[in-house]
Amino acid sequence: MLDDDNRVQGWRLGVLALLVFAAMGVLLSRLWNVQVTNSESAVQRSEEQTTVKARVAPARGAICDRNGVMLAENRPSFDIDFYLDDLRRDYAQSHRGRMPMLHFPPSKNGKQRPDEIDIVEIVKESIEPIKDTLGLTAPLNEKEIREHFRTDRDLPYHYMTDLDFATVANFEERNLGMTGIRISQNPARQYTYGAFAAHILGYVGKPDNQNEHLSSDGTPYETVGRHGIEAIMDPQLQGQPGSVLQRVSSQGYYIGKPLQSNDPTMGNTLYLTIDSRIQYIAETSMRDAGVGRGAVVVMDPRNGDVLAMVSIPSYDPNRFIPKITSKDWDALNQDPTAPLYNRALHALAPGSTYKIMVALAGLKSGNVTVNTEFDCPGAIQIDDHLFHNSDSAAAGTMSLVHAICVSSDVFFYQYGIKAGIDAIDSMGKLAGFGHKWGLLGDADEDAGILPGPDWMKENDAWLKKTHNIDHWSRAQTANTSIGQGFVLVTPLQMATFLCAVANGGTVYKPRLYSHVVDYKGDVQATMPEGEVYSNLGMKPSDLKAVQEGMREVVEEGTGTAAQVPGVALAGKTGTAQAHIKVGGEVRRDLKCWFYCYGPFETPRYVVCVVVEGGQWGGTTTAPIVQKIMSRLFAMEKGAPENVAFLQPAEGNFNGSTTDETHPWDTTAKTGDTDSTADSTDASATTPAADLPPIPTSARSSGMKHAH
Amino acid sequence: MRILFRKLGQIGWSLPVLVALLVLCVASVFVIISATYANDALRDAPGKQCGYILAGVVAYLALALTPYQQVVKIGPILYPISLALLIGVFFYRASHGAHSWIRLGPLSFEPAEFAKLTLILSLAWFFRVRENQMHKISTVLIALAITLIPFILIKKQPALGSAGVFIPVFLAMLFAAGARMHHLLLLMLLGLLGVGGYYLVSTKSDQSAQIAGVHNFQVDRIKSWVDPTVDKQGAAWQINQSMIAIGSGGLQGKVPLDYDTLSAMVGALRGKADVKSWMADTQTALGYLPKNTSYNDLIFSVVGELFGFRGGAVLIICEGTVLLWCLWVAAHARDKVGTLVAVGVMTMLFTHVFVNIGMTIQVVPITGIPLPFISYGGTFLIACLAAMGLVQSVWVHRKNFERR
Repeated sequence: MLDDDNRVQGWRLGVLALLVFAAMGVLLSRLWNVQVTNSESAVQRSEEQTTVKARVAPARGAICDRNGVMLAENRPSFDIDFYLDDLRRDYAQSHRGRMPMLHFPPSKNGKQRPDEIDIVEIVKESIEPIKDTLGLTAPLNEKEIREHFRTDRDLPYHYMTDLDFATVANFEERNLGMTGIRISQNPARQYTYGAFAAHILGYVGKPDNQNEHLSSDGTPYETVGRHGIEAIMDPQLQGQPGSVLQRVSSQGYYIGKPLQSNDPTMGNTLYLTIDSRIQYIAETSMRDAGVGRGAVVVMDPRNGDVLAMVSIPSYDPNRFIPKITSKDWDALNQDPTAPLYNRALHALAPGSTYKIMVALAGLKSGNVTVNTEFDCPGAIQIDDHLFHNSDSAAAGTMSLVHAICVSSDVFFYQYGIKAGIDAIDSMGKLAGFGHKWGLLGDADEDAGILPGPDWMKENDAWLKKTHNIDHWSRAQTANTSIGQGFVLVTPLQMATFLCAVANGGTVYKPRLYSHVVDYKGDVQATMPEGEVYSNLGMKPSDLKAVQEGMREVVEEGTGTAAQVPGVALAGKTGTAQAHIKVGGEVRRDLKCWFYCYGPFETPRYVVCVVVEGGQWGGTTTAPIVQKIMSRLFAMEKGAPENVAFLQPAEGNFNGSTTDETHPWDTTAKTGDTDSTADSTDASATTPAADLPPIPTSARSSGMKHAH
Repeated sequence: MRILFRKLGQIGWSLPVLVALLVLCVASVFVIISATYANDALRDAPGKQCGYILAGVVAYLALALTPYQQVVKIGPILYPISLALLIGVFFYRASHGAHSWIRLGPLSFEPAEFAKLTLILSLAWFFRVRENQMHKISTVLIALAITLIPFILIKKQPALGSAGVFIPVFLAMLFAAGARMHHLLLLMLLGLLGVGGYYLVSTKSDQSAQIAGVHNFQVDRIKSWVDPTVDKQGAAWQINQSMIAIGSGGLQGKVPLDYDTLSAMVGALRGKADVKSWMADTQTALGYLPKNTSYNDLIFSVVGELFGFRGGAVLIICEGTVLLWCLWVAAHARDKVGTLVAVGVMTMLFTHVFVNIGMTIQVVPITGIPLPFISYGGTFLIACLAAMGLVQSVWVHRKNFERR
């Protein structure tokens, strides 16, 4: 019986034994496969999940003035950071892997977007129990958090920035090791003097595009220059990020010491050619005069260095740090006076200041000389159109020097025609008109217009369409000769040209920054000083005559308001007709210029000021230049200029008027004989200032800035 | 007394398996020290495991020296008791989502493990009773009923993995008892159809949660076994982490098995050394292996990470030795009851070993069943050692025992 049983069972037990052998064989071979053949990928995955590479943000290089005064630097900002991936992991652990998911409806082309982890829900739930005690009060920006989670989940998300000390202390004291929420100290940009030189410095912000502005480790910079010097010198100012590699537990705690760490490097320090004291003089002089819109450029005629560049109205770039509120942003952008716009690089009709260039052009051409005399009645007939002098008064016969001094329009109509548009054109080219100097990037600078037959050919179609003009006329030459018509010049171009006049004819490329220095103090790059763009090529005696005329302008002509006791100055006034649209209403808006250099014998400063919506160059602008010049020379003698924090200058349209009978059109004059070409009755063929060719008015409301 | 010594003298061919069991039990203590490193609630687990081993050895010796026929005889008495205990668990609060425990004062145990033993004894008893009716389908069906009652109760806990062990035990014992092959094949076919249909319905249906009898997470586990990339943080977390831990262990493992490590391990057991000294930076220590399963269900992942392929292979060979020895004993049993007991114990252990190790290396889906002689847990360890005692008894009382 027993034997029978065992015979039956024998093969059956054999089958079971085979099964056991086979199963153990399967396990062993699979184990070999997992642990030996494919070990490497597991080692890699293990390394990936147990280490966290935290990025250490680099500090941005500083921006200094020529004397090393810090204009833009870094300060520590205490931020509450969310480590979104840690929060996600912690949530998964405590919810047995069940995650809140976002479901998307199928799109129109039938593609189903895969479900996504609802990170905002996770963040909300994670901070819910602690948000009151720890003061996590800021609202969550859901869109930003989702975007950050999608693209940079390894980098901390700055939830609250710039915490005050009490919040930091409270957090540190009560934070019971909450995974994924930490306080960190990050460098934040600080503009030391507020709205001071705002248009030069620009501002920083987050990059628009995650794929641009990559640092050496391939990750995007958190902060990039968005405007001004910050933007164009961004590659120099950016430092290289550092990193810390740390072992991390599944709960997100760091275990032990960092496995590896690279310190971040600080970006290079940029030295501007700006002298902060001079910038301060210019900024405060404009504010003191109550200018609502305008610009100042101060240059060194000996080398073309820009010593100051002011644009009014202005803004405080600190408002952009760490992030401008949408309310502030909208306010800046919707302000019709356009505080973000750099008016020093904005082209305007130059008015009579242009006569200096025309004077040089004529002398150089040989068609006229210093002694050529023209009869100057109240008005003259050119090509069927009557061209008035600004005061419509006859002044008899005069030659160049006196014509500059009194700014006679009728003289320059005839002088310009005699000199010829080609001579004016080529002199303008030498002076750098109609061309961008590119100090702060091409996008924010106007080229201006240097009108002439060539220019007309290039813009043929547009001119026919908008102005019904198909050929260059003598009337246009006449209008150009007094800086009206199509002519548009930026204050920077005017200042650069005047440098050449002051220094004997050398046109230096304007220079805004001189060199960059790395964190060790080594000079990394330099911008050559006094780089020559061209030479006006004037005979010294001819140039001398024009200089003399400009000296007389200040001494006894239209610019006497600019006189500085004890220092001889040479300058020129200008008042250009223009119209702007304010709130749908067309207003007359005079561009009042004054530019001058001094001291007359050994020029060290060129100051060019333009005020939009002023009265006359001689009365509105010359006194501002007077203030600037006198403070400059006082400073040279040791008077202190204590640079201080500046609030933004407010813009206004106070000087612009809807009154078509501007005081200047009436016969009652106040002795000012500043010139203008009155477009209203001058000529149908002279578009002059009636909505100028490049709609400057549109700039006020239509300009776009990158956020 | 003489007979006792005579019985001890019968050990003979069971020496290798005693060595294998010793290796496994000693290893289990050190693996548990390592696995519970990140789990403060289980600081005393290694010490307790030593106690369980001692209790298991006592049970082993007691059963080894008792003639197994006497034990099988009380099978029909133990069976209703185990059913009563399995019903009893539902009067206790669930822990980790399942009603698995009975607590009596300081003692607590899992009746399911006890039920596995009583099933083996009951089936052995039943097949002995129906020795001459093995060809009848009624025998098969009654045996099936005997198996399904505890199976269903355990599945209700829910503990599908543990319940699942009953099926192979039943099939193997039926097979070894001499049931007709076509009965067996029919049973297996029906079973496969049932399970297959279940799975198809559950994966096709959008409301898998509503399928009767199958819990959502059970479906998730099967899905993540098929494709671990589906939901890395959710259902597939365990299998992914297990694969990373084992794979990163490589051939050698992360812990060198040298004198320093061994003495550190002994020191840690006596509370005189820090586990950190050999655990630093492992997936286990950093908590990536789920810390509440790494000491029981996923313990092989810890072995694989710390001791590499070499350690894992030694473990598999030791377990394999135990299994094959059970079959060897089955073949040399004095009677059919002995054979059936040995086959039943072998199959129970085999299922645990294969499923537990297999799930950590993605051979079978993740289920919650422990690894014999290694996983932390008193009831199961004592049950396994007691089962081995039964088989030892079959060996000690083998057919030529009394002829000598």
